Amino acid sequence: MAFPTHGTSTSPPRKSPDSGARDLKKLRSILLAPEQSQIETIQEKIESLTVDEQTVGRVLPHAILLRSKQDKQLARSLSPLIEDGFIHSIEKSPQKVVDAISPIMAPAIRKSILRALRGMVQSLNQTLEHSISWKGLQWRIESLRTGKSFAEIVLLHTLRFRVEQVFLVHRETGLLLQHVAAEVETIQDEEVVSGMLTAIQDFVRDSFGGTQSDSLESFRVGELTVWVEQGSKAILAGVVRGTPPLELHEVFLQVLETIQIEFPDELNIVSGDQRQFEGTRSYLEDCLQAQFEGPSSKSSPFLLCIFILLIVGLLTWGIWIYLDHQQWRTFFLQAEKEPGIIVTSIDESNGTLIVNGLRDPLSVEPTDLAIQAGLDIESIQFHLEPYYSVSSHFLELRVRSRLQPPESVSLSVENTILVVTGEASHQWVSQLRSLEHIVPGVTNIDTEHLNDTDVAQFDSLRNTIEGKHFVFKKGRTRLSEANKGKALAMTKDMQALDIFAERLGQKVRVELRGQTSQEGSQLRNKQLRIARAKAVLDGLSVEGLKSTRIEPVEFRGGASDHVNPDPAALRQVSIKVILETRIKGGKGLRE
Amino acid sequence: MIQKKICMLGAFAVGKTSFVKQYVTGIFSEKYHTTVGVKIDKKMVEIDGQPITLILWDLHGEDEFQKIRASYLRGSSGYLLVVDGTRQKTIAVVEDLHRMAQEILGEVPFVLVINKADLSEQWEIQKDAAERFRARGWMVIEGSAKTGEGVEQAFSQLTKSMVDD
Repeated sequence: MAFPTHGTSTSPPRKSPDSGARDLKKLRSILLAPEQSQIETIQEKIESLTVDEQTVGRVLPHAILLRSKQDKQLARSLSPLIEDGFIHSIEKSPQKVVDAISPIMAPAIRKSILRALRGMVQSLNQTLEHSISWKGLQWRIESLRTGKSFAEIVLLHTLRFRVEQVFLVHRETGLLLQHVAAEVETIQDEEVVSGMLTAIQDFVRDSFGGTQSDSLESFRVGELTVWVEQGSKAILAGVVRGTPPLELHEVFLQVLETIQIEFPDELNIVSGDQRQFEGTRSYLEDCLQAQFEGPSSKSSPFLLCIFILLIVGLLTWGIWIYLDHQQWRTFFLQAEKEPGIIVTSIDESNGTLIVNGLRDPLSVEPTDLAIQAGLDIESIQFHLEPYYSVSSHFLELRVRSRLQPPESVSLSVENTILVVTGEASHQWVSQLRSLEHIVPGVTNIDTEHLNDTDVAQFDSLRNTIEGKHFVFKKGRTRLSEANKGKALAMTKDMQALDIFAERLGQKVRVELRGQTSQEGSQLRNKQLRIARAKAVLDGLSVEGLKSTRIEPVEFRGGASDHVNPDPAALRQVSIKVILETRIKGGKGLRE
Repeated sequence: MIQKKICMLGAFAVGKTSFVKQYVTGIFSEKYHTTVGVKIDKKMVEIDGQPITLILWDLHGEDEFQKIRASYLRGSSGYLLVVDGTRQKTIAVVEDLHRMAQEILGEVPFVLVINKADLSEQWEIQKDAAERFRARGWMVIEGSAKTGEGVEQAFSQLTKSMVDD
């Protein structure tokens, strides 16, 4: 709402009397005659002067220069024309404009990219530098604890200072002219903040009786420091994290002065259009400085030695721990593989390791395993309770231990059945059967392929003895010389048979069966049969037999066994070995 | 983006802050009034397709105990004078403030808001008061910060005047 005021003033022309005019004309011609004639000459020249293009072209550059020195009016007048011309030129031939501005734009773009890359490399360097150090480890833990990113933690700890935001504020109005920020979270409503900043400035000045030139120069908010540089037209406020160096004041002041020099008209008449101050952005960005802690200074040789010794010590300790661990690991792996040993727990008491578990008495000594693994057995105690392992290995061991089998016998355990193969004496076989349910874990014994050697030899002797017979001539009952020799030889077989019978626990009856042909009377033949059997008995020298009883008997069945019996072949004594008791399990032994 | 500073002027408790609150959502609390003496808010508007950011300086109400800081007025493109319709004496205050604003700012657009239109039956201000001000060339709007009546209109008319100025 404007309230224009209007006011004009005019003065009416004064009219002199005629006489006075004449006198005055005379006086003028007397006093100013030469000058008058010169003026008339000049007037003629001016009236005859034609303003051509050449004349204008000659004076225009000088005229522009003169006017531009006086004020900015010429620039204001030409601005719309230049803008329109520039737009027209871009539309018409953009390539020419590109060629013209590329020498300026290319370095600017390069500078911008370089700045961004430098920032990125610096950030990367910092992260790498602190990632592998002890400090870095602490910060990583802090990052995990606080939930902040590692980069943020590094920044907080290494940052000396960083200008995060810069406000260019119009001093009188408090309007925000320009605002730049580093690549961090910026505050919202920077226009409102800049207004409040000037309000606070005014408030402080008014409250503490300062002059117009006095101002609030800085204030701290937590980790942030706000530095305010006061110019004649503008205020530059920088929000700095950390502790800024005093030199930063100079940077801020220099930037502010430069802006005030380069934008005097814009700062004098603030229209509120921020676009007018777009050119200040690059200056303000120069204020966005940061400084981080450099790499730590070199350590002293003494500290370095201590550090190296510490590292060596740690390495040695680590290797020792590793080797000890490996030894124990070897021991436990071996113990796990070893049948008959079960480790249930390990306790430690006064520096001694106590290994608890179970152990089959037939398994290897656990101390041997510990020695093999390279452990110090002095520092280990084994509390292993005895138990019987029912694995095949231990069943076989246990059976061998009990039975002491001959080399001709092989043992194996298949599904709790003890399989015995080979050859063994009757006594060992009997012992084997008696132990059938004594060995824990063995439910049955398979002896199908086990040969009793005593039974085999008994049967062999029996067949030898029964294969012999003594032939007599017709009507005779006395042994011939040949039969006597045969009887003597059979005596040894009889004695051996007796030994085996006794070994087998058998009572054996050997029948000497006297036979005759069908010729002759029955009475006579009966007498001959008995007499012939007794003659053979008399021919044997078999005294002292323990399990064998020899009986001469008459035998009448021989003739009927043949279709056409030869009478001479029937006049004989045959031998029959008869078992009086059954041998238990006597496989292959005839009745 | 064009920014314009607007000051809210008026006696104590005429409803300036409520008037602004109806118009914007600010980030600062009202305790700034009692500490710094001003609370600043921002409102984005568009006039004839042109985006404009209004920076609203809500100054502490003037009374016999506290005078507004003249420095806060500087650089304003316009101002809102607010009177309480139910209190006759608030008119005298805005007249003083208007004179003060003219001294500091010169001839800049302003709007007189007669607040508490929702309590019109309790008004002490004469019904023809608005007309008397209009006769002096003032822009006068009767409104209510409570109901929102006239709020948008007051700010938009002031902004338009500032842009046209």
